[in-house]
Amino acid sequence: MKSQYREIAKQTLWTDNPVIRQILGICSALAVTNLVSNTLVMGIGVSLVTAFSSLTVSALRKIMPNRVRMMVQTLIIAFYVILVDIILRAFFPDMSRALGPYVGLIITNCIIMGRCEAFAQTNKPLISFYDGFMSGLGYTLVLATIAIVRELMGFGTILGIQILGEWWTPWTVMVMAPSAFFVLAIIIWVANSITDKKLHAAGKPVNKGVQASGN
Amino acid sequence: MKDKTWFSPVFMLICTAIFTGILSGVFVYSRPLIQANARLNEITAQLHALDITIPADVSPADLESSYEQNIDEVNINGLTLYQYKTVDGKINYAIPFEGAGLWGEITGIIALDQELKTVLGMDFISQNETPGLGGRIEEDWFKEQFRSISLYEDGEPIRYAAPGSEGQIDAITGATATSSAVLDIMNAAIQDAKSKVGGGNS
Repeated sequence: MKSQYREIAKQTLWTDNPVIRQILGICSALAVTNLVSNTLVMGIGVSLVTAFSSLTVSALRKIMPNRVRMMVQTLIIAFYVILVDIILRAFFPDMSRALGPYVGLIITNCIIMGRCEAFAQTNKPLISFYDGFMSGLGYTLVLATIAIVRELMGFGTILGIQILGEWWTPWTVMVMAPSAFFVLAIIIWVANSITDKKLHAAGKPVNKGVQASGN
Repeated sequence: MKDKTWFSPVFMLICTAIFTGILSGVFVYSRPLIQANARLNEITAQLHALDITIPADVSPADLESSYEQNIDEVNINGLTLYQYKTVDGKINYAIPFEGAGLWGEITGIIALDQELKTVLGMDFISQNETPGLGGRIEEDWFKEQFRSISLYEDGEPIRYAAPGSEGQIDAITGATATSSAVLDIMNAAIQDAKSKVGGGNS
């Protein structure tokens, strides 16, 4: 049982990371990564919505008819996203103002439905919740790395704190969405080189190319 | 039962009813809070535009009541605006503005003096511009540029300073679309106020 939890953590954070191995959640990887603070809040939002959606889908899995499961999953995800939005607007108005349209964007994240389909549909509620949360964490980890590079080069700051001095000329391209593609591609390249080398050393077949893709 | 044809729509209906029911409940419960937050946001924007300092430790209820005492909502020729009487008996106007930004609607308040010749300040109520680029209109350095600036008599009342032309304020580098949208919206609101309120009819 314990080893299963450890295995999930290893997969979601590294070997089967939703962003760098499954290429999911790319849409928001571009949209929110120009500031580290936005990325962290988005990461918390996605982690919580994924965790609770997986929990609910898993709890309903035995009575849910197969042919309407996608509709029910969409309903459940929409339910949690709207819930997060209402709670933020009622109790954390400043954060809600800073996030603006991002909260609504959580719904477009493929990772959430991906985990509901791939994991929660066939596993028990508690471990589904854990799997969803860890997937969100794996997503946050990669996005935070992109955001650190982009904020540092685009503004010379990290979390709004000045890191680079006056001598640094901010790169405007780093503030704009296309730069996330460059940074993400480099991260995927580095990560895949490391894992491929390990697989090669272990005598296992090296996975060329990407299995799944989505936004 | 799970595989019966009739069960799928019934299951879907029940699920939808339960989930939307919970959401409606949460929404109804939190609506007063959300409205109070929106109201507080608007009051703060108006006071900030009128250059009235808000004490840091004031409670929302006190702020609301002192706002009610000092600021009047009036309607002049179809334009809703807010009047504030200064200590020396002058009337300052806080005029709401709204218009299209780059991504979505931008709303806010611009405050003018009694003669409609000087901008006292401005503040935004809502905007959806690109964070880090157009979204920087929310930063203090941008908003504070509008503190006590004289309006141009002819043409656009507020202009950006650019090489070869004079103006009162600096635009945001890398966010040209948002910068010009913001100025167009405010200039339209000022022109509208000038035509409806008039220069010296008080």
